[in-house]
Amino acid sequence: LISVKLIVKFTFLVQVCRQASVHLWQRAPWRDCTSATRPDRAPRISFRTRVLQLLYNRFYDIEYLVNRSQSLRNWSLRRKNAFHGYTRERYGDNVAAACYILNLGGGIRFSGEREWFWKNQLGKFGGDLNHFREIPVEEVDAKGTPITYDGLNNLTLLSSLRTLDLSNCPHVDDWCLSRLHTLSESLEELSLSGCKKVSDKGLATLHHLKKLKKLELFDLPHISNPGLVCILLEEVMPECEILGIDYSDVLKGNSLEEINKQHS
Amino acid sequence: MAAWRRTAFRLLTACLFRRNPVSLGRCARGFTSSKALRKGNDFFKDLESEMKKFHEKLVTALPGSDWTPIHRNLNLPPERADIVIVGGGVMGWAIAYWLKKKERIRDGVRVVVVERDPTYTQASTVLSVGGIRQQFSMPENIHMSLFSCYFLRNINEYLSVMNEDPIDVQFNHAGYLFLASENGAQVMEENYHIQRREGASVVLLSPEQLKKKFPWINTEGVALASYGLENEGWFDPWILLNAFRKKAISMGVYQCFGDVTGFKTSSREMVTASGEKVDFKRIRHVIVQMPNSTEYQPVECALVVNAAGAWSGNVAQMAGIGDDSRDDILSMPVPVEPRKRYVYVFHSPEGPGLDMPFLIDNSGAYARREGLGGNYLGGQSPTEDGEPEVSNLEVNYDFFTENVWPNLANRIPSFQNLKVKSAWAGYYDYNTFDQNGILGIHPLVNNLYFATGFSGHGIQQAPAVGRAIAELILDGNFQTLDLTNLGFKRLFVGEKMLERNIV
Repeated sequence: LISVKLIVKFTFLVQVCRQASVHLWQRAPWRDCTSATRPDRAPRISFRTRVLQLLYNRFYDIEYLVNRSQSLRNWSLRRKNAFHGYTRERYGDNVAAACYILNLGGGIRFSGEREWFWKNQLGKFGGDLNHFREIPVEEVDAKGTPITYDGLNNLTLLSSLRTLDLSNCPHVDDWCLSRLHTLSESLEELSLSGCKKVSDKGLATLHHLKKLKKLELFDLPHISNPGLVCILLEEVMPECEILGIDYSDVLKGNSLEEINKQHS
Repeated sequence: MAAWRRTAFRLLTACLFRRNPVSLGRCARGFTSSKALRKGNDFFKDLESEMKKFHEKLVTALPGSDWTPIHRNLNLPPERADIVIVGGGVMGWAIAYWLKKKERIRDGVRVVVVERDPTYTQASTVLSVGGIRQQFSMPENIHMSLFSCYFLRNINEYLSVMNEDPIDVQFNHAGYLFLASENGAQVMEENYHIQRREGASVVLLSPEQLKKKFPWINTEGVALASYGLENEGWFDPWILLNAFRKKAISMGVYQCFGDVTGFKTSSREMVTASGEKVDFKRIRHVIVQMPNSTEYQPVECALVVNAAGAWSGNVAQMAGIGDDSRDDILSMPVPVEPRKRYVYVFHSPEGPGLDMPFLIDNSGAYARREGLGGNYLGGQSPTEDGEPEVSNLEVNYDFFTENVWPNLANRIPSFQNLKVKSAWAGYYDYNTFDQNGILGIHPLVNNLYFATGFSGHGIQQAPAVGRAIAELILDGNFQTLDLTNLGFKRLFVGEKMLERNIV
């Protein structure tokens, strides 16, 4: 009888192990819904995420915590990029934009001034922004800030913004670029270097910026056929100088026919 | 599970043996007993009916649960569901997703999505051009499309599944460019004011401004143009469909591939305040037939959503809507029918570049860029008499050379030099009444909801419509966007919600 019990226990153990391994190695049911446009690549999921996935599927608490932490992250990003409506009402567009950019950790320069405004080490900036109520913002340096589509609402009201530096912003994507058309009458220099989410579909919207003189596009991994994009951009904006993309990208391997094939 | 199956099998065999007096209890003897041999393969003949009996017994023993130790066919839909969505296109999956998102408690509603075509080869979702615009004349349509834009912008907050790649719907922010002739200019201006009021970012361009902005265009015959600056363009509907599908399945929606062949309904006679007798129908079961087989499963359900797109008229007919023999509202069919539309892909080496918008000519032809290599998509809606036959999806190439090309080449002279590379056809769920969506519950079949008849702009409204239908079902009325005007009432009253400048 004891041996029977042992066997039963053993088989139970084996079953549990097998189920666990199935959960660990098997693909989730919704993975079958593949997308045809994306090339199939082997999913490289680390062991840690796989364990987390197993726990996530098994325990509601883990699922709740994971989802909650994600929404918390989204919430804090949204809060940082909130529209400075009150400041705008009281002090005007320029001060509101300045507050927004300085709070994010960027820098700002008013028209006719030499000095840039930055946040100091304590995270404060001087209270003398009030003097600049009537003076338009001319340059904005938002390098590496968590600026998003919603946050751009603070900047789109600046009618004489000439330089905008959005390089290395992790949340700047095509949607943000499509929002820049409101600056079309004034913007002369734009830097998008290192914005990992920007693709050629976003760059296509820059044709609205008629006065653009200089466009920096270093280190954009999501652009397919950068050489071709560069040529097409120069076609629609003849006065603009595009930095960071070489024609040689086209000349090297991708002949135009190949590009045509890729896009057909 | 295996252990359970084994016990069930033992129980069954025990039952059989008890009825058989010759067998003496041991399995091997039982099978080869003389009586069994005489009857021929008796055990296996009976097996199926015995299984069925056993299953019935189990259902009576465990009411309200469809747990069973015997798995017959995994592809069958569950026997009971709260909501059955007929049609697994983008609309159906969007509704399923929003139902799950809005449910108050975990697994509060059991949703089944029934799709006929597992490969989506004929699905209108996949065969559409995927445009999204705010240049409508009805505030409802503008708001739905604005919400869809918001949804697509934050799609990873809504539809991301854990440990999956972030979703990129390939949104092209090119904007729509509508051209109006002398006659249409006034309507366009009125529309423009409505659009601005409702929050769409649109500008009007005179022919000179148009020529300056887009030097490649021929402004002959154009009196006014309206151009969308933001939130307009096109995206990949297949990615959106899959994102909805993945997320909904991960939230516990049942996916089932099969054909809905009928409904089992019950009806109840009621009397109105004025003393008229009215039959109220209620759908009790949805009969789902498996593809390529005669096997079917009636799904007992509380609510049915008809999101079958171009075929939703047929689905409504199964529930007895459009029955000629009656003289009440039920005799009125749902005015949705499939219409075939062609999309042509052509290559034009000198065509417009990056600034090419989704152009809609005053002649009705449209064109948009496809990728960067000088490829374009184009097409046109045929006239009412020239509607092609809808039994198959074959493409009529002459339609391009005779109708579409002259219009496009007239508008964009560089298109005179082009070569058609391929083409496809897809179905519109064409609402013959007023070419707008029909949203809401049928007045006499009072558990059948409709989300259909969008006449070509279903894709761009899917996220908003999914939310609206989920609100209608779970909250009882529209909470965020009031779409009462798109309800069933207008069909009976005869009030058309016409969109001016329909494309």
